[in-house]
Amino acid sequence: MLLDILRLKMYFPIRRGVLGRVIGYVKAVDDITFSINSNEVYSLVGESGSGKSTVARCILKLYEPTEGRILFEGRDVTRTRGRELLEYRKMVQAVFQNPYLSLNPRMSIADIVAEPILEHTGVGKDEAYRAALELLERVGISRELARRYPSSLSGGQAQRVAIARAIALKPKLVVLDEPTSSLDVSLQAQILNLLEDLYSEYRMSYLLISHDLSVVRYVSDRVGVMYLGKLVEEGYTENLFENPLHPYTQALISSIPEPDPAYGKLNRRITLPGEPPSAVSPPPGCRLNPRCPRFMDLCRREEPPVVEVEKGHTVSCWLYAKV
Amino acid sequence: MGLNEIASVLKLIKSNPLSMLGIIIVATFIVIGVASPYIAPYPSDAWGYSYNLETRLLPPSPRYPFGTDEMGRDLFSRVLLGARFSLIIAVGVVSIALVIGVVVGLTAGYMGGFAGMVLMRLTDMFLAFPPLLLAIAFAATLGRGLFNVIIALALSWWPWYARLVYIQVNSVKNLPFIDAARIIGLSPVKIMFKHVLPNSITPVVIQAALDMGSAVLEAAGLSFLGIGVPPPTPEWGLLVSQGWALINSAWWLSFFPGIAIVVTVVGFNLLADTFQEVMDPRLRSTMVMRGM
Amino acid sequence: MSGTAILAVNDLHIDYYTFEGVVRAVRGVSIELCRGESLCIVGESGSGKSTIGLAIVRALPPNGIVARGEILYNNVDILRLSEEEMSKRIRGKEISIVFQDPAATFNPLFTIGEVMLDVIAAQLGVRDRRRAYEHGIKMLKLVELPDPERVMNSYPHELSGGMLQRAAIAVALSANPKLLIADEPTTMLDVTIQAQVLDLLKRLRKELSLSMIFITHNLGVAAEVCDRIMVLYAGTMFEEGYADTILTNPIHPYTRKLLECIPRASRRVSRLRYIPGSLPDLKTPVSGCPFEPRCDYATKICSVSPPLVRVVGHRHRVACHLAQEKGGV
Repeated sequence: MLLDILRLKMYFPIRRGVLGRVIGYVKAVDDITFSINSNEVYSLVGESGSGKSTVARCILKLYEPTEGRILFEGRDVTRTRGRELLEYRKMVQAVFQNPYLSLNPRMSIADIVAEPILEHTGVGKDEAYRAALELLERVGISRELARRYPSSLSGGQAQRVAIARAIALKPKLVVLDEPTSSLDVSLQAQILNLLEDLYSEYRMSYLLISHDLSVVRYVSDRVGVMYLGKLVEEGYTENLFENPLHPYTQALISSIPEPDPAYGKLNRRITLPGEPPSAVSPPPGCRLNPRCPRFMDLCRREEPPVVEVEKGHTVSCWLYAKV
Repeated sequence: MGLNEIASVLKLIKSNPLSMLGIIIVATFIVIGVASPYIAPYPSDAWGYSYNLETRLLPPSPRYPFGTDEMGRDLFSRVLLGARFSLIIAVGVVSIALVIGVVVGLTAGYMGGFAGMVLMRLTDMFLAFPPLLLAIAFAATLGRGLFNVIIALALSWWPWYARLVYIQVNSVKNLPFIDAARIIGLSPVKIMFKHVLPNSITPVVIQAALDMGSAVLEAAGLSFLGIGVPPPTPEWGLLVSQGWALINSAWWLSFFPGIAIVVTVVGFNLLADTFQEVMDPRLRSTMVMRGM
Repeated sequence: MSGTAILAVNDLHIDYYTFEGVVRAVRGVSIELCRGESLCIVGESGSGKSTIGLAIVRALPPNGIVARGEILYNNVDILRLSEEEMSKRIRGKEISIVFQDPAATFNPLFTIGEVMLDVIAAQLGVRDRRRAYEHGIKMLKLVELPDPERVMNSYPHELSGGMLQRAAIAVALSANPKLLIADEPTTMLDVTIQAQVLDLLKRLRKELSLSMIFITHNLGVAAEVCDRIMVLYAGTMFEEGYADTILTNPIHPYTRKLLECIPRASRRVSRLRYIPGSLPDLKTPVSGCPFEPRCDYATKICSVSPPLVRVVGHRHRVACHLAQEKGGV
């Protein structure tokens, strides 16, 4: 195992008044457990408010989790600081959704990519910049562009620069937070292919955070589905897409519009009524129960257990639990 | 400020005669401030301890365009030389206030927490007083002198910059590139000065540069009240105040330095309006139209 | 023009004047929309799809200028109408628009009800508040908003994105327009909510016999809601036809490539095809086909002269130099 997330919880306090009294919590991530193997693409999918990005930010150590543990190669890194944190940072990097916002507009492209190299390896300036130029060339950015600033790049080029920065330290895990969501379709494919090439070349792992199931199906080995702070289903990509078990996963997959008239006629859409409730006061029992088409009385009373239905395919739903 | 913004500022200035006037005034002020000892007809009248009875209180004439004062010194030369003191005061006040403001605002904004709260409450305390009143209090305590005037004004001004920097930093510090810097593993100090500051400082520096007009005005105010620069420094406020006693017999003594103050302040304000228009996206679209 | 066309756009050219130069956003697009039909305008950023939508309701930003062309609504060129006629007779009553961001419809300082009643008063001339309120409630029920009384008294930030977009649709339809322009109405929504809103639009279109122009970057969404699809690239119409034809038997190389580079959730491909290069800069004039630098089939003529629009089948038009030879492939 490269990364183990054990019973992770991230509650954000809601404060009111002059004294900042805590009046409640947004339970963004509520008791989540999963692992990522080395050289594996693991995807977390879910809609807004599902908590998938919060999980990513905990792993990137931008948030301090409320509870639970994060193990990296078996070592507990949940509260790590100082030297150890720097070592961890070298191995875990990220690419964000909006490439323009994730590059400092006041730094040249070469500076941006050289920065992590200068910070972490003892090499001199010349060597760091040489390495940066090589990385840029690898992701398809020509030397002539290296002196330019991010604002003069196209969205696809800027995302390539962000990718070059993320792989500069040869990390073991790269968190991809909606890496193609702000790109046009014709550029999205370029970036996905680049990410795939780098993945086999560098033998790293990806944690892909995405709401786009088509992208997820294309790139991932395993998929976890999140709803309102919970992991409701997890499995190998093919199993999960061909045989979705949780009613939420079923609805999610059947909601994707496909540019294929035949598919539209064959596919029976499962629609969920209403919208996800607030993560401040999630419904008791199974969190999907107010919207679930296959809701039973039990679902409102008790939280469903995690059931392994086939090898590596787990679901958290009463429909599959032997009561 | 990026190249595009500079280009739009230049275009705007070209299209607007008032902006052009502002630029000309400010440029002239700076040139005179720097070069006055070399261009003034009677540079020795700067301090002028000598007393020339025969040229005492002459009205404006081709030889003495602004007339002469009660000690027989050429007022034109003294006004030109005064620009230098105004410039020194303006630059000094603004730079010191800016340095304090940036350190306080950046620390409070990026670090937040208890220290940040204390720093910002301190800033708010200063902001609760009218700045000129504060400056008068500081100047009165410190005593007369060029350096003391600068300190007094800077102490009353930094909170404005601290607040501005604080607001800017707060809008920048949650952007993804700051997260990226944290993920790379940069120290907070490096993130603050390499990533946060360069992306929040531009509007503050522009504001500060444009505040120089007000610095000139307030320094003159202090001098006028007799707690600024000591005589016989040819500072504009002081010149106005000294001429005040003779306003009935020698109007030019207060008039010309007064005009110098007004023109300089107006020049800076015209420039400020131009920049405001460039910085404000709502005004920008009208500008695009004008640019067609 | 055939008598059944509710909207006919002929050779429309729109330019934006910016500091950096003139952006030629729309370069000679023609549209024919029959009564009751729904047309999807599909394109990537900078294709000009939203600009066309704004031009049809005459809501271009001040630096956007219609350089050439006409927009005939029921055979009246709305580009020649005065602003007063436009707001009195056309906007809301004949043609309405729904935007990607429902916040464009709702001022954060007013409740949904206040906005609705204003629109109803202005467009339907209903001055009686009681009657206007009842009409508003009826509209909110029409878009399937639960608890319409509560929604009326809510401020925009109190509603979720999906509910707000439903309310925006209710406002757009409150004066019973014949043509609805929907500019990426589901782009900001989650997929399950998007599915709800698409179902709603499909239902409303049938019930109210609306004609619709649906603007989107997502071909999957286009397949869901539209009879016909028009593919735009760099302000130019590349291909137009019935949705089934465009999706299963496209002729223009760009349409083909675009369909190939979309990953599908319904099946796994081993490697995605992609279109090399990046989207064109609309400020630089092109003499030939704007897709020529990225096109695999480009020949000499493609960089020299712009392709003419050719009819290659029943209501199937393609703008490509190779269309004739490749037609039917």
